[in-house]
Amino acid sequence: MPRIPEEIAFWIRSAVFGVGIGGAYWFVTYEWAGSILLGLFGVGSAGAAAVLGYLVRRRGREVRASPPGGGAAIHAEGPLGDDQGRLPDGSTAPFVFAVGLLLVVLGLAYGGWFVLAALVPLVLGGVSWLSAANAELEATERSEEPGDR
Amino acid sequence: MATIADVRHEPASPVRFDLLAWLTTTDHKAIGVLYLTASGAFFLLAGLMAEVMRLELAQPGMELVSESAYNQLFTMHGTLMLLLFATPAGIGFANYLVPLQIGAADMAFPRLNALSFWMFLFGGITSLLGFASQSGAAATGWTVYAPLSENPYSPGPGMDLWIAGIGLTGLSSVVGAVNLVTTIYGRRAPGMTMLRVPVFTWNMLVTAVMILFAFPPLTAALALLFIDRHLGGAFFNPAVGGSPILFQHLFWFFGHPEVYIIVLPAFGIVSEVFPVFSSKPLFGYKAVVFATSAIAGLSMSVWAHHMFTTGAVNLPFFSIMSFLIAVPTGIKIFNWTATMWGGRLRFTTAMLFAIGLLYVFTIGGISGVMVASPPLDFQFQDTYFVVAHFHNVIIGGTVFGIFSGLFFWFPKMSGRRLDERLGRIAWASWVVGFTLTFVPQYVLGAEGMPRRIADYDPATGWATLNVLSTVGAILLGLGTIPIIVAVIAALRRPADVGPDPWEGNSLEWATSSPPPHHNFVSLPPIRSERPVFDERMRRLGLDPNSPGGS
Amino acid sequence: MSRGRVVALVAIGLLAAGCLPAAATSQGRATNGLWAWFIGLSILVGGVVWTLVTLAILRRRRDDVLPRQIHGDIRIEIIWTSIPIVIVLGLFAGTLGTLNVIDARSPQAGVDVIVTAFRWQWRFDYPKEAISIVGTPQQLPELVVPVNEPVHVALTAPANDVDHAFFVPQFLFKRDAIPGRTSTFDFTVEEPGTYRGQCAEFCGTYHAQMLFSVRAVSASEYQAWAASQRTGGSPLPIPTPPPVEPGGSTVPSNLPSVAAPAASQP
Repeated sequence: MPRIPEEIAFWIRSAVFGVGIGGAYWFVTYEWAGSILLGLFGVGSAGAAAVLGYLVRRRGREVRASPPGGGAAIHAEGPLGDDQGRLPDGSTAPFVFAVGLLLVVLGLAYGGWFVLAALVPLVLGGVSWLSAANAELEATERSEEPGDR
Repeated sequence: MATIADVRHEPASPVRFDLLAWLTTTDHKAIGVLYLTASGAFFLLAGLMAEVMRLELAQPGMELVSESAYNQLFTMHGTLMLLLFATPAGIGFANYLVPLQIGAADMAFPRLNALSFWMFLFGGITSLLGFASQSGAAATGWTVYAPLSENPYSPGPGMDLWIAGIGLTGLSSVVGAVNLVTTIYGRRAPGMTMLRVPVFTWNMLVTAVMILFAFPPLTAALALLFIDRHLGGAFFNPAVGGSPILFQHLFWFFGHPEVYIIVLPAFGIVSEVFPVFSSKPLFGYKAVVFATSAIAGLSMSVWAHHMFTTGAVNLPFFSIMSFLIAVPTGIKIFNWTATMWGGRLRFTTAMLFAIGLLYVFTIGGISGVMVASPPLDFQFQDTYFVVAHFHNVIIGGTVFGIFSGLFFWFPKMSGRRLDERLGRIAWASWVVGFTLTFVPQYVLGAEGMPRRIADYDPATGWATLNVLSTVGAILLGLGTIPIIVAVIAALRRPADVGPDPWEGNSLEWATSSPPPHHNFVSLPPIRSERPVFDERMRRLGLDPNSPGGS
Repeated sequence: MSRGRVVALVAIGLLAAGCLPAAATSQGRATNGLWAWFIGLSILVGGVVWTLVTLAILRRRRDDVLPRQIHGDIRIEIIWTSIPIVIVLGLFAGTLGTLNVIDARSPQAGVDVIVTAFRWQWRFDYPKEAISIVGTPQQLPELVVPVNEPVHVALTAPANDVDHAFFVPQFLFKRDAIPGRTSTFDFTVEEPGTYRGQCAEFCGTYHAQMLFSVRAVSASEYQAWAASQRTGGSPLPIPTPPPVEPGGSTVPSNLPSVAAPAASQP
């Protein structure tokens, strides 16, 4: 049994504590709101540990399968390790999208027509966001073709 | 599309003002600076509100503002300080420093990072817009307890703007936390195992995890409150069968972890500052990391100590959990002291604020143990004793930590040092001002002066201590000016600081000040939690594993 | 007992007395006792930490040699983890003991009072004596109780109101009045006198003016007072809260100012 990486051990400890303390709280108080919230803390942590564990195992297989000297492992440490080289250009999309969200919350206080106005920046921001991400993905895929490295 | 090879240089200097560059940036360093600037502005605004409140309370009688205005002021003071200054300031430092400390080029999701900043800023401004409305801003206290925050008792758009704005800010925190966790889990440079990650980054990882579990209950509570107010819900309004206690459970399940969400970044900051200015490694790295995790876990299970006086919660359970959280906090204090022990101390402003934290935060921790005891809390709850206690931990912990971090990393962020003389003046005024403001409040609270009152009976004899407290608050206000002056003066000078002005330990000191867009040209080998220290020793021809004297 | 220890105990006693009012109730006296332990241990712990930090500063290396690079010591970590655990467990034990005294319900008959908190006044109902008292702008409400007899309080707030809290600083006690809930507790006043009370849970615009007092008198005085106050039968109606002007500044006509005189003495 290989040693559990610290990244995952952290979530396992958190899950054990959450489930344990949630259970103890339930049997001490029978108060449901806090018991559910503590339970979710434990179960959520367990879920995170499980997902990370799966990713680490998959990554291990990928590293073993990749040719020596290559593969994802050299780029970064950690279960979600990925390529460090890409940096997106500046983009108006986050700001425009956030303006849309601002209009939505103002609509909560001042009425529905704000939400209609919000659709414009939300759509504009969303579309430019997705297209930028898409262009980047294609460029990355091109650069990762064999012989291009 | 840009790669490290053909990176387009965005403004490396955060000084030359280019509005479009700031609005469109996805660089974690620029976003970090934006976070720190915006949260600094909220800090100054909330500080001004506190000064007005202190002037009103200096003498009995309503002299300066009306009851209703006073209530809006303390509501927004608390909201701004906790949710729009302390929380995003920690996230701001994290944004700037975490990718640098782990040797990454940026956060995992740069555009999402920009989005979470704009959501935070717009949410914060939204919560303040209530001041412009006829009925004023929210006036329920930052805790927005139902049923007071329900429609019949808090009509008008001020409360709705608060709910909507803080909801948006909360969402921004969750997005930021996901980004931080993913970055720390997926972008660490080769060799940087989890137990070589700098302690500041560890603290931010734990903070982010707490945000992930604490903010959703707040969002849920605010959504249910909004449904109650406008869509005929009956979650919290007892007149139609709702439960005020449920609101308090949901709020404090967020509210108590929030206390640690704002203090752990500061603990992380001083955990970097003590080793550098003591020329020693952090004493007990693993113990500090363990204590950080323990604080996070325990902090999830102490929320109802804010509800001891409701008569509706289990007192022993929440009392023992609250007592126990003092233990890991104490471990940290002892480890920082041991880090200084026998060290070659350099009393820079950053170090002075860190040492100030040791002295002042300790008192706040001790008074925290007092209010963890329900019989004592029956006296102290909702009095100035509690006000003094949480200002003691937030100023002595979070604010001192943030000031320490500002003086420590400003050279990295701007290429310029902050004036040390102005820093020492600010430090002295804050230590003295803090003592003068809050020690009287401990006494007032023990004597029974409730918090959140706009006025008090002269026959209570509370006026003398209130005058002292107000004088202290003015000193705190004046003590902030040297920091502002130091920042402006520094930015008017040309950048002249090299990569490593303090002889630092972690990777941010291995690149230029300020760093280029892609952060690093090359990284030193990472074989411990102090790669830059190791590299410096190697250059001096010393063994990094045992370089020290006796 | 050595003289040093006496001096230390006196100093601690003075600090404790200086910070927390001496309680007027038997329950509050238990809190006073617990507080003495807390303040004593706090001074000890705070003193140790401050001394260590100060020593670390005074005993720093003043030469230019790199200090020995000590990464930690597991033994010392165990010591400063276990000592605080022992201290907080001790404080928890004391807390539980005091809590049992404060939460205890006296089997004696005593006096029953229903306290109703509403924006921004109080109503005190004595069901057995058929007395009902509501505060007015001219007169703060006063809860009159006999000394040395348990007072059984049932505390509540109307369902169409907000949270309040019943707080008498000299009883070292407060309890929230939550709409739609009834909370019960006992207190036994030991010292005759008039004690200032105030709402402690923020309840809206005029929270600061929600005052009352508790007057503890001898049993015979209490009987005489109760006979004179009998209103007969049902509790008085709860007045509608005064309207809140946006930005309103003055005290509305149906509220006392914070400096209003306490109820007139008979």
